[in-house]
Parts: sequence; structure tokens; C-alpha cells
Amino acid sequence: MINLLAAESQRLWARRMTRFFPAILALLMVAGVVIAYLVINGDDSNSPDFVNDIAGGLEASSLFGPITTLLPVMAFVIGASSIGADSKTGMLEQLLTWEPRRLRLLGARLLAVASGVGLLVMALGLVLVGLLYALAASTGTVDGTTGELWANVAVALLRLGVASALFAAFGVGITLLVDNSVGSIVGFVIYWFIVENFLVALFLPKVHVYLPVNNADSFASGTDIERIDGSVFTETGPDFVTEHSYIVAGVILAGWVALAVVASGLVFNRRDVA
Amino acid sequence: MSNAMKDQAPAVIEIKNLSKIYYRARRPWGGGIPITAVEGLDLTVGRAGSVHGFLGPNGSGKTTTIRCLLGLIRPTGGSVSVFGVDSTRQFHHVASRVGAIVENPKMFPNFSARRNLGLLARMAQIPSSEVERVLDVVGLKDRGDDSFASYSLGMKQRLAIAGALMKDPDLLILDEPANGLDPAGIAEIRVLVRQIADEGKAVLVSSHQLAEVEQMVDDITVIDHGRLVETGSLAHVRSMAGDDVVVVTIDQRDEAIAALAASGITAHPRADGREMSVDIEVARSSEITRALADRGLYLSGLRADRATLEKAFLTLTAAPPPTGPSLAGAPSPLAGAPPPLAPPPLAAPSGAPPSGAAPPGAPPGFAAPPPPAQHPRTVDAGEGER
Repeated sequence: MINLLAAESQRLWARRMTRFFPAILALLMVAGVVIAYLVINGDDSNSPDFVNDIAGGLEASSLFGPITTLLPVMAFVIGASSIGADSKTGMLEQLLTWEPRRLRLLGARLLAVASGVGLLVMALGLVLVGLLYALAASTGTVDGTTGELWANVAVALLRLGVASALFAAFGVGITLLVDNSVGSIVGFVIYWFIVENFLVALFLPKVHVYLPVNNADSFASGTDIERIDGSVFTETGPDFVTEHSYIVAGVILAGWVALAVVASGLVFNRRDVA
Repeated sequence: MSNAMKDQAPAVIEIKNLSKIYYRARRPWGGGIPITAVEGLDLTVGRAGSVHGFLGPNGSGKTTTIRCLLGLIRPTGGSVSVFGVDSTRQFHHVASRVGAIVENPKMFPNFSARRNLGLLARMAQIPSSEVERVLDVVGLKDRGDDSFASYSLGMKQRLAIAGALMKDPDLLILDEPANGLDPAGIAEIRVLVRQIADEGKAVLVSSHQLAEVEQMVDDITVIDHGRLVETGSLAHVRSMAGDDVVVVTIDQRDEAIAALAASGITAHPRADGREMSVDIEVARSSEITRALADRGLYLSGLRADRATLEKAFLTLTAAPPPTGPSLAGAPSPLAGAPPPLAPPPLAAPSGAPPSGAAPPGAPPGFAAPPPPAQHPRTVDAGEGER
């Protein structure tokens, strides 16, 4: 199993998708910070305070705000393409003549993709922290950065990594189930932005709190899940009630992923590979 | 390896009553349009130390059978065993002893040959030195760092063979190994396959390159429309094309036929108005020229028309396609080839069901293929010489 896992990891890192997507994200981060530097530099009224303006306090609650949505999407795409690439090249057939135990192969693939993507996302998060710190240091202040802040940053990074790892596994599972990587990626994006975050969130708020994307957001950002209480269309606006903590959200997310993975394992184990 | 030793070697592949039905436009709740790829196939192939040719027109069920052997697809019925193991469920017990290429060479396109093989070697805990050895065997050592995508089809094929050889398998299954290879490459593969067999390993080769197959195999199985048509030694299968004949070209054909008849030699007119087939051994051709010259008749051409595997193949697979939906409906790749000269009598099995009749218990939409062109028969390898 160790050899299989090593081979799967090697294959993951050698794939263009695994390198291309994160490279684009890293470039976007650098570009964003450079633009921010050019805008802020020389304008004392906009000088950022790393702790309060960027990190959102010692809890580091807003540090990864801009990428908490992007990274799990990227994770899903990498997971989905790891299956799609094999189907497209017919490599899955080749691999199965070497390791015919399909669940073993799937297990190694899941472990390799999830752990690889988790580490990758944490590395990207670290890059973002470094860039934002450098921005604050060069144009504003980094006073007040304590050990407590860095500990919270580390925990937030870990949560982001775990959420992304789960989404990578989700991508593997869903793609195996539907046997079409493009379909699973397009379907996932539509589901994410339209079905869950718009339709269900608006019309079925009690259901929304148990759906995967909402719980992923909650877990990755470390904020409890809230739902709209009563009508949206009131003079004072909707009320929100806390439904469950981000820890529970993580468990619910893991449950969704486990469901997809188990279902895909059952289907894959019986499917004709040709 | 001597024929006697080969006969004592155990069969490595046993297929019994194998059937596979695919479903086109499959519905999530099951069913769809059934397509019979393989039906009732019985086969014992691959004696250790021999090369077994697996022939059939496009869509005849060869690759489906090979995929069943490798546990890639589940048969609808019947059993498949490799080295005595049910390969549809427990192929992992024998996977290390089986090297295989199914259809096209499959590797990661943007990885180099070395990297592709290295990954496979790592999966199977094969020493990395084996990568260099097999690259050398297939002549790709110098191009080992080039990406798979940059390879020609022939090079890809050779790399796939290298991958299959890396396990040092006891059974090598090659599905169309000569695809895309130039003549020199095909000859190399032929020599390589024979070498592997001579080392005491079993090789199953599926191919359309009949002339090549003829030069490398000991035994042959021909399938068509998913059914066994003939199996046996090369000599036995080749005999299905009939005997060698001598073809004479002469302007006064009818006079020549009469002249030969007077000399006790039987000749038959052929479709070409100037040609006739003469029932005589090729080595005795001089008797024809003497008999004709004695009567003042002079031929303008004489050639031997030998019974070849290609003729036998065309003869054996000449049955019409089944009426129901089937993968076997694809035209023969050799459709443009000349028909066999002297097809042997093809006796239909007595009591065979009428063509197109659905067997009892068949799924809706199922239509049985017509009866096979000939009684399937199994003849021991070594019955004739290779």
C-alpha cells in the first residue's frame, strides 16, 4: 500500500493541473498584493494594520476570507481531474492490470489526492499570509502580532487545508460516480453557486444548514452556521439564529464526503472499465 | 521447448461458456439496448511455452474476452480463469504473473517513458533497474526521457510492451501488438514474442496482421460474432482454407482442361476466363507443362496458390452478421481481400436454431446471432507443425 500511495502521490505532483491551478492562484495573490501596495503606498490614511485590518483581530477570522471559496473549488477540480485524466488516457485500465484491487487503488488515490491538495492549499495560504504581512510591514504596521495570533493563523490554515482535502476527495468521489470529469466539475460549480448558495439558501434555509458547501464555508472560516429566522422580506431585514458550530459543520462536511466516497467505491468496484 | 514438453504444460487460461452483454443507452435503474459482445465462448488457451493467436474480425469480441480475462469487465455469464484463479474476481492473485496490453498503448502522455515505467514499477515493487532493462529490450533506451505524447504510435506500442514485460510475466497478453509498427518493428515484435515463448512463457496475441501471426503462433483461436469458430494448432486452422492449388493461365483454357484430363490431371475453370485451378501438388507442376506442351498448348503463367491463414480466416469468418444489435456488425478489416479459392464445405450444425431466433430467457430486444459457420472444434496443439 505504501508503494501504491507513493506512486499515486508522484503521479499527482507530476500532473499539470496540480501545478497549473495553484500557480495561477499564487500569481493572482502576488498581483493583488502588488496592486494594493501601489494604491496604498504614500497614502497614510489607508495604511493597514496587519492585526486589526487584515487578520480581523487576534482570532485571524478574516485572514483567508478572499480564498476560502476559491481553494475548495480548486481542490474539487484537482480531485475530479485526477480521475478524469485517467479515464481520458485509458490509464485506469492499465493501472488495474497492475493493481486489480479497485478499492485499494481508489483508497490510495483518495489519500494521495486529499493529502496532497491539503498540503498545497496550506502552502498557498502561507504564501498569502506572507504577502499580506509584507504589505502591512511596508505600508502600514504589524504591531501587535503575538504568538496567540500566529497560533490562530496556524489553526485557520489547518482548517482550510482539511476543508480543501475533503473537497478534493469529494471531487474524486463525484467524478467516479458520474464517470465524467467535465460534467462533475460544471455540475459542482452550478450546484455551489446557484443551487445551494442561492436557491436552497433563500427558499429552504433549514435544509441549507446541512448542505456541504455551507458547512465547508463555516468550517474553513471558523464561523458558526447561521440560518435566516422568519421571512427575508421584513422592514428590519431577516433575523439570524445560530444553527451549529464550525466543528459540527466540519463533521457534516466529512459526512457528505464519506457518503460520496463510499458510493463511488461501490460503483467503481462493480463497473466495467473499458 | 519440444512439442512433447508443451503438451505436458498446463493450460494457463480456461474460459467456459463466457458471455458478455453490454447495454447501450443504459438507464440508471438497469437495462437498455442489449449488445451481445461475447456469447457462449469456450476456450482453453496459452500453454506455457507457446504463442496462441486470438483472431477475429473487428468487433468479434476479442478485446472483450481479454478484458474479462484481466478482470476489467464482468462477464454476464460463464467463467474465466487464469492460472486456475477466477480472474473476474480474484485477478489480484495472479496479476504479478500477467503482463498485458489492451487495445492501444496507455500511458500518461506528459510523462517520459522512464517516468511512466518507473511509476508502474513502484506500484508493483519492481526494482527500478528493470525499467532500464525493458527499455533496452524494446529499443527505447535512448528515447527514455522523451514524453510519451511525443512518441510515434510504434514507439508507444513498444513502450507498452516494455511495461508488460517489466513484471517478467508467465503469461503475456498482447492485444494488437503490431498496430502502428513499421515492418522492421513488426519483425522485432515477432522475434521478441517467440523469444518469450521459448523461455517457457505463454503468450496470447490478438491481431489482425494475419501474415505476422502465422509466423509466430503455435495455436490459433478464431472467434466471430462473439462465438468460437475454430481453435487448434496453426496447421489445423490453416487447413480450413483447403489444400494448396496450382493456378495456370492459358489462352486456350478449355482445350487445356481437356488435355490435362487426358493426362489424368483434373483442372477447374476459374472466374478469370484465362485461368484454371489444377488439382496437383505444387512440387509436381512440371507435369502440367509437359502435358500441355505435348499437345501444343503453351501456358502464359503458372503460380502456386497456397492455403494461408488469411484464407482460412476469411473462410471461417464468412458467416453473415447476426440480425440483432451486436458489436460484431463492424465490417471485416480484410473485406477487400480476395475470397478464398477453395472454401471447404461449411456444414451447419444439425438442429441449430434458426438465425435470429431469441434463445429462451434472453432479455427483451435480444436476437441470437446465426449459427456458427462451422462446428467449433478443439484440436490439440502440436497436431500439426508450426
